Amino acid sequence: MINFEEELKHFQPSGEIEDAESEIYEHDITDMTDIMQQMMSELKRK
Amino acid sequence: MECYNCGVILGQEQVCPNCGAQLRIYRRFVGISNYLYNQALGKAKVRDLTGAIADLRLSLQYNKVNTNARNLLGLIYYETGEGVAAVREWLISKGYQAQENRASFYLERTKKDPTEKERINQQARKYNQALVYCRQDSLDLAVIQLKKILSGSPKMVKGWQLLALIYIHDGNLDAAGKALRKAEAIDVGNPVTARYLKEAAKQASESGGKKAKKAQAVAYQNGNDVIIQPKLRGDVNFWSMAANLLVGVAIGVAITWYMVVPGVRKQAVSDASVAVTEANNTIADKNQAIKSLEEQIDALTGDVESAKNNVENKDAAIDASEALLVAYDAYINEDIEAAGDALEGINEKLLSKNAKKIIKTLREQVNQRYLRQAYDAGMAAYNSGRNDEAALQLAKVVSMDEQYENGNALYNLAQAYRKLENWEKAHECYSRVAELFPNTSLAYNANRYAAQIGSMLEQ
Repeated sequence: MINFEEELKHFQPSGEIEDAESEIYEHDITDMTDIMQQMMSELKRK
Repeated sequence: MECYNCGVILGQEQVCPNCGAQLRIYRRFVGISNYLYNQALGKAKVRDLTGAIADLRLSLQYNKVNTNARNLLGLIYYETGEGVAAVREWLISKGYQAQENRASFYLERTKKDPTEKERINQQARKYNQALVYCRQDSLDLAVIQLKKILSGSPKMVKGWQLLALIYIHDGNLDAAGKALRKAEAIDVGNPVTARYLKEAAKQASESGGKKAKKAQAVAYQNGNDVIIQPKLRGDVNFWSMAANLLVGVAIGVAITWYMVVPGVRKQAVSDASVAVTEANNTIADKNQAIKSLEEQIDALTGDVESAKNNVENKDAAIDASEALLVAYDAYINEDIEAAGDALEGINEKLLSKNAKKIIKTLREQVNQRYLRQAYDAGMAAYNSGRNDEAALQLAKVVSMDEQYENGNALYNLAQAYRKLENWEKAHECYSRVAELFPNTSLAYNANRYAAQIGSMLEQ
């Protein structure tokens, strides 16, 4: 049985086009290569 | 493929020829990213957009600069009515690859197209308003708002899902099913749509079971035959007919009172709700228009201010050019003092490039002659006791070159001020002589006078 109020919480408000640029900064775009480079630099430091 | 470390274009090397970075693992990541992109492309073609989004996100976690994957992710977001997320992905994509990138085309058609941008923003605003209505338990208004959004943006999956959720909540399972099938047609693999469909089907089968039970109450089996007969059946005579008629009329009146009248009332309320929503939307649109007009006014005011400043700058530039002509005319007529005076008042910054060259040459030629004339005139006046004139001429020289004639101009200016009993200026000039020409006889005398005047000023 679906609980309407609970389900409604999953629906988040939409942003406007102007928010797209600010969203980029909040968006984590780290990839595996970044993680690999970070690990290698940590290993070198040790 | 580019080296992740230095960005140099690579061939089949396992080690970067430019920076020496190991490429084996990096190549593996790029390969996995491309594989996931291909998987996503296949899923997108059969409209499993949720599955495609999951693969593309994973693909970008392996290689964030996979432009094709990021552009496709943006395209899928756009297809499902997520305009902001789409623009975000295309902007990131363009950040990584500015040239020959399809994201530029997408951004031209969305972010930079005022009509499309306004459509996306309106859609977001109306959807947010529908969510507010839901949270305020004004579900009728929310349904109206969502229908309006979906008529303009029929591919907004979350809009169809929210509409279906409201319908399920209200028990309107047919309408919920229709909304969910629309959502499913856009994205077949969406788990929320699937869950709601399952719930709607479950509720429909439960209500279907109850109806069937009712139907069985008037049906009975005789041997192999199923006999269905009306519940109320008996002998019919005049009185019973009249009674039935009266009961029928009473039932009719009751139905009218309890069912038709509330329906009419509900319709009236619904019409009023539609009117309220329309009014709210109109107000929101008007507010937006007012905001946009205010922005235009601000921009135009800024333009007017800048035009005014331009005109003022142009006037000042014309004045400076005229002063340059006056200086040049005086120079031609050998009136060096007038030429020097005119040159002194010109703000070079306001002149054109060519005029700047002219004034530079003219200044060099005029300055020497001007300084000489002013110095000679100043010294002649000083020697004949006309200290006012001497101070005036020598001050002109010092203002252009403090060290003129090895400091004699400055020293004699100090002397003229002293004789005029202008003690503060005299002290200032003597101190400057001592500072600029230390260990000279001028400095020795200047220091002596400065000390005398200084102690006098202190008293």
